[in-house]
Amino acid sequence: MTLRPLLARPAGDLLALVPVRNGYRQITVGQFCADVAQVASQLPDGLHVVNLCQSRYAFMVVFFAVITRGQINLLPGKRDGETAQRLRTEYPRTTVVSDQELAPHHVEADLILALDPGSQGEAGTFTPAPDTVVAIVFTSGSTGEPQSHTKTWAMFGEWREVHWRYVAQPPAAPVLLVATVPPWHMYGLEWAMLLPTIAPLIVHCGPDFFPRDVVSALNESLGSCMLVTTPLHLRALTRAPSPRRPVDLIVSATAPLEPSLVTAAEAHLRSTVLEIYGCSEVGSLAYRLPARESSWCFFDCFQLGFADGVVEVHHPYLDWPVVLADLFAVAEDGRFQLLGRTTDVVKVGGKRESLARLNGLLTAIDGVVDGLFYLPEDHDLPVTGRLGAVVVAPDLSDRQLRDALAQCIDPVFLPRPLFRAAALPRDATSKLQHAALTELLASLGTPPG
Amino acid sequence: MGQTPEQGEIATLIVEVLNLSDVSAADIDPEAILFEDSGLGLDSIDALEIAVAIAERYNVHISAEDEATREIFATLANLTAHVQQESGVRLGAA
Repeated sequence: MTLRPLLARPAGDLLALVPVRNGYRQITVGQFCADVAQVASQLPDGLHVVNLCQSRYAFMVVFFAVITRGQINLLPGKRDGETAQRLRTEYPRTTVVSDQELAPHHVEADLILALDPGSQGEAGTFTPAPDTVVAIVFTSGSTGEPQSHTKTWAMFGEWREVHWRYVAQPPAAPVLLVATVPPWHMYGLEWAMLLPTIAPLIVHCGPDFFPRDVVSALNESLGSCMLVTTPLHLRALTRAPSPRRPVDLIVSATAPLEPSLVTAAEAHLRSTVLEIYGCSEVGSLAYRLPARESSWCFFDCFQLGFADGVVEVHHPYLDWPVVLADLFAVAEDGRFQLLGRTTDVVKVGGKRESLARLNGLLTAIDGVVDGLFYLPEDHDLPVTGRLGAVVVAPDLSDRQLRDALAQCIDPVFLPRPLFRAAALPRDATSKLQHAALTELLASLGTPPG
Repeated sequence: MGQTPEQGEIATLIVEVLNLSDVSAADIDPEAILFEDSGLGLDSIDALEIAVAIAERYNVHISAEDEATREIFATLANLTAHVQQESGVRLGAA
C-alpha cells in the first residue's frame, strides 16, 4: 500500500490540547510541525534517542523529531535514568532527551526540551522510506531477558490506517482523544500517538491517570470523545462520577475485560467498548465489541497460520512469524475464541512474565527455601490483579524478603499478598497440586482461588 | 515515630486495599517513603487503587494535574494530611 506522510492532516487542524496554568494551549498540526522541526534541529548527530519526556506532548514532539532526523527511537518499558544509561552503552551514539532535569545520580540528559510557543510550521509532507527503522521497542519477554522489536515506518504507517478503519463507526469529527496509557508502550503508541497523525483527533495531553483527571479531561470535549484505556482504569472510572457527555468510544487493551465491567463501563460512560487483543511483538492484532460478541476478529492485514490451536501471525513487515502466547479456537469464518495461555505467562499492569521464571527468581534468593507465585482468582478484589506468593524462608524477615524481591523483579510482579509458610505441601514428585495449594492458601487466610 | 490516629486509619486503608498481608498498618513509618525502590515499594497501579479507595471512603479526589501529587503520595504523613485537609471532619469519624 502507498504510505501517507508522517503527518497526513491539514495544517490548521487542531492536534493537541496541552494544559497550561489557566487552561489549555491549543496546538494545531502546523504548530506541532514547527515544534518537531525545532527539536529535530536541536538533536545532536547520532543514531538513537532515548526519549524520557514525561509530558505527552513533549514525548510526541521528540518521537516525530527523531524520525524526521532519520534517527531511531529507543522505547524501553522502564523509563528511568539507569535504563537510559544502559541503553547508552548498548546502542552506539545514543542521545537522552528529557523535558525536565533528571535525577542526577543516574544519567544526565543530553537535551532538555524547551519548546518555543507560537511558531508555525508547514504541515508535514515528510514521508519516511518504508523500510526506515523508526523505533525499537523493548519488552520484558517471557524468558525474562528484555527483547527488542524493531519497528519500521511501513509497519506504523500501514497499521495506523488499519486501526482507524476498524474503529467501529468513527465518532463525528473532531474527536477529543483522552488516553490513560502512556505513548511509550505499543498500545498507547499506536492508538494515542500514531492514530492522530491521520485521523481527526485532538489529543488531550494532561496527566490523565486518576479518575478525576480522566473525567475532567473528557469534560473538555465540545463534540465527540474517545477514551483509550485499560481494564484497570475502566474499573476505577466506573466508581467515579460520570463525565458530562457520553464517551463515544472506549478502546481497551492490555488485559481481558470481564463482561460485568464491559456492562458497567458502557452504562456509566454511556459508551461502546472496542476491545483490542495484541502482543508487543506486533502490536494490535484483533478486535471485538465485547458487549455484542464473545469472539474476536483479526485485523485483515495479517495472514494467520493455525496449528493445534496455536496461532502464528504473518505479515510482510515481520521478519519471521510471531507465535502467540494464547490458545485459540478458530471458527470457519476466521473469528476466534481465546481459550487460555499456551504457557504459564501472566500479565500484570500490561507486562508479561512467566510464572516459572518468577518462581525461579524467588527461590534463587538467598535464604528462600521454597516458594511460588500464584494468580489470585478473586475477581472482587479492587482494580488490580496482582500475583500472590507463598514463601518458605525461615531466616528472612518480611523486610529482607521484600527488599530482595524488589532487587530482581519488576515492581508490577511484586506479590500481594505475600504469605509465609513453614513448608509447601508438595507431593512425592515434588509437584504442588492445585487442591493442596488451595488448602494452604485457605489456611493462610486468603479465599481459595 | 508513632502514628497519629488519622495516620493509622490511612495506613489501615493502604494495607487493606493493596492486600499487603506481610505489612502491619501500625508498622508503616509516617515519614518513610511509600513508593519507588524504597519503603513499601508501591507503584503507580497502587497509587490508582489508593486514590479510588480514598475517593470512595472520604470523597477526596486526588488528581495528577495537581503538581503536588508526588508530594501527596510521598509519605503516609503527607497523604493523611492531604485527606484531612480536603475532607474536613470526615477522617477519624469513620
